[in-house]
Amino acid sequence: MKLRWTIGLLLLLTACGQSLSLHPPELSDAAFVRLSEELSERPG
Amino acid sequence: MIPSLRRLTRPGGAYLGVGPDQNFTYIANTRPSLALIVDVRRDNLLQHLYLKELFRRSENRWEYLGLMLGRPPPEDFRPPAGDAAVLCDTVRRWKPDRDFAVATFEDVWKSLLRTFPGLVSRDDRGTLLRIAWPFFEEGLDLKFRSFGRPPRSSYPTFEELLIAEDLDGVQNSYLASDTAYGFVRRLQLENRIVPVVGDLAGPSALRKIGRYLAEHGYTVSGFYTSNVEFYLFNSQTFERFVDNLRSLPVDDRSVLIRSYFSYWRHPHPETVPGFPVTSLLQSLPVFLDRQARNPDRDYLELIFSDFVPIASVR
Repeated sequence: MKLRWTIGLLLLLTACGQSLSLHPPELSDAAFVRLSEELSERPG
Repeated sequence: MIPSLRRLTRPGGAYLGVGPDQNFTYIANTRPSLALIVDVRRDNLLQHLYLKELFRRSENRWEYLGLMLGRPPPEDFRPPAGDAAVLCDTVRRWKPDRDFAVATFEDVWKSLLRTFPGLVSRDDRGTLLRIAWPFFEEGLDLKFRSFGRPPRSSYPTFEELLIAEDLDGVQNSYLASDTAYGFVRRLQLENRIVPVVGDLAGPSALRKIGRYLAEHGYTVSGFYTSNVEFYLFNSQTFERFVDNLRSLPVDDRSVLIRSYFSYWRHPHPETVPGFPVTSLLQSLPVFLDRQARNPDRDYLELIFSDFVPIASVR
């Protein structure tokens, strides 16, 4: 029984970890603009 | 090709692509955490900002397509279940409304100026109108065309692109299901589909992207290059593009997604009979390894070498 709980907890933590890694925090509008500008080629 | 793309790529990575909204279909099917749309045409950035605003205003794909095409839904409309064919049939029945289309454009335009002042200036209004208006005037029958030239007769209409099926007869476009639309919309709302102005063979954009992705722990899952490499060979800048690709963080599941326009001249083993364009997948690390050992000399050699046979991963 104890083993089953431990395995269950481990699976839950793994799922949470994967979920977090797949969903990084959103960018604000200002950060979105900054990122687009920073990564773009500079004219000329 | 889409089911193979789904199986080959790892969700949660970084997606890169060129061009307008076909990227959304690849995004919906590779499920990245971040998408960077890199295109040498600044108009492409403007179009992506415009579409982003349509996503923000549209809780479902019916509203989105109605806004894009200037066709308001009836007041009592409730979104039914259905794929992109049902969606297109439904929206076709909605009457084009010029006042609605103008009001949508003006509302989006004001919002873009207010929300993204660093990316949009007042001078862009005419360009954006030229991009958005054909969707109202031609609706689902709109075909791609380049400046001053009529569309080729073999080009598909917007509707044909949306309802295209894979080899198993399943529609996979970003407007084919609520799940696909919902995924892309969520990335848009979280500002994680970022348009960038950059030449794939240029000195800085892809290299800066490579640094950014590495610093933030991303690996490239899919990179849609369309047929850009054809032009890079013509301008003798293909090698610079390959050098730029080396700056990207990749792993054994990173893939290149290509569109090969054969027009029946040099049919490809992956060509589906009756289609002038072939979608191709290629392992990005395998591609880079081959370029290091034995660089491709021309576009056809590139297209016909080391592609992933779709049947092998279906």
